[in-house]
Amino acid sequence: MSAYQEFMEEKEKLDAYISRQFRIHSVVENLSGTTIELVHPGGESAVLQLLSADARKYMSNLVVKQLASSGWNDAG
Amino acid sequence: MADLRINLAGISSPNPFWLASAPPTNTGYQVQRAFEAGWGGAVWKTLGDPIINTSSRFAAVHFNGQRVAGFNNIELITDRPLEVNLKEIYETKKRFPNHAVVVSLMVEPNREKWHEIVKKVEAVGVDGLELNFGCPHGMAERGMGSASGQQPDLVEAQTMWAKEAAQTPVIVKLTPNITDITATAKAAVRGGADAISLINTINSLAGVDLDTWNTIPHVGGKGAHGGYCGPAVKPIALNMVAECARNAQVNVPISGIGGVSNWRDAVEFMLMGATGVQVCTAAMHHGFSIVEDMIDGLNNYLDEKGLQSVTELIGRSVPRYSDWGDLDLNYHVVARIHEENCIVCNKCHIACEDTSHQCIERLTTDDGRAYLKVREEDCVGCNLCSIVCPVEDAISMVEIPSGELPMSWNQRQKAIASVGDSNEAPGGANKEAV
Ligand SMILES: Cc1cc2nc3c(=O)[nH]c(=O)nc-3n(C[C@H](O)[C@H](O)[C@H](O)COP(=O)(O)O)c2cc1C
Repeated sequence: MSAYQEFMEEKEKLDAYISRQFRIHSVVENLSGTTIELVHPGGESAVLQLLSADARKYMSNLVVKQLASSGWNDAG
Repeated sequence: MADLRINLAGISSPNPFWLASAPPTNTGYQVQRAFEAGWGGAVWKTLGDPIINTSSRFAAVHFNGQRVAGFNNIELITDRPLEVNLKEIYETKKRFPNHAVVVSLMVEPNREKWHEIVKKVEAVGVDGLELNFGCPHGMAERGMGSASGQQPDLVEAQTMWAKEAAQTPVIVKLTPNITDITATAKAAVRGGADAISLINTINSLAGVDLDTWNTIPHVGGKGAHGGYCGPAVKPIALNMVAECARNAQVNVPISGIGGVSNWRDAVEFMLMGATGVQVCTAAMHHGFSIVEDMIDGLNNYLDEKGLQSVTELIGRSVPRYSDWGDLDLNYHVVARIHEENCIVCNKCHIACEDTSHQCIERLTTDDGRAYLKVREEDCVGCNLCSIVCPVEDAISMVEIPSGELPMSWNQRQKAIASVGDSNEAPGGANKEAV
């Protein structure tokens, strides 16, 4: 599979949770990639493992946006 | 025409092109001819207790048709008595009062020795001194040169001793044979250096003869490591100059040395923080007259850029030199092949397929014509195809706006650490590998 397709599949899954109001709750990085826990305001949670570099980058951009929307400042 | 004059820590010269301390600056005859040819300054061949050299001293690495891509030497410092050199230095300065005459010095790490040579050399009227803490061979085995230049405490102490006696500016010449050049640069500044110069030569063995199994060069069948310089070392020197220039604790002017062969190289060193440059190998390869093209080229470049003085170049690219962790991960370029210039040699396809990301396809049109096409979505923008491409303007790297704000690795790590407890593996939820 092309790296781009791999990324798109991971992105779609992540986008699906975000569009359902899930928020990224924790991020763990290890030899296998990045594992994120998503939590819904209603209490439901899910875990995704991101393997591709582009998906892990995409997730980081989402984290930055999520933090910015809650007043986080990366200079702080 | 722009003003080419520079002033390095109080040493002024009519242009930024100096000859480095080496064979081209061995005698008054040579330095005076160099000034006549147009060089703005010269750092005299290192003075100290006169040495005895070996016969067979140099070697070169020729690469793919380019003669002297790299140059290797096992020559030591001057082999002429101090008084002979001093007489010629005096005569040279008298004939060329507006040129920079800097004298390179190397003695044992001993306070009295430094005081003695500094006083004797300054007495004949020089514009500055350069302390040679860089020679990697021969002298280092005697505890001088790079042997003392690799130890920050000795760099600091010797600089201090020279400064105690010196009336003229003291430049400390650094060895590149060290992991972090800023460690010794900072030591020189602590010792009171007025400026630093870098780089001296890099430990090297030019080659081994496949027929005789002798080293290149060899002295009667035996070799010893030498010092490498010339075009091949330029990227190493440029990085070291830039690392010093962007370090707030190395707050003295820099004289850039290492592989400078033309005006373009000089401009690069100046943009990266050098006040001027020194040249050795290019002069040894092509003679003193290369400075004419250097001066012309620099003049034209400054005019094209609308700059009044060459000093306006100094350090202009330094703020653009950073740490990897501060680079924008969202910046993205892809390769684009311009069919009208492509000769379908396949180099890019092979390079990408064998050693990169397999995103350049070799396709055939309906009428049987081969062409190459980048699958842009899979291209990581590594630049390899455009590097191996033998045709100018056949491949360009094009920015694809990511639509995201800039995000560096350091910013990313900070954000991830802030999002929650990132140390514990999440549990209790359904794990879905996607
Ligand atoms: C044959 C030879 C002799 C050299 N001798 C000295 C010396 O006596 N003192 C010194 O500080 N540097 C010496 N160098 C180093 C040069 O001054 C310079 O730092 C180095 O060659 C890098 O510049 P380049 O790439 O323009 O040659 C010597 C270099 C060569 C090639």
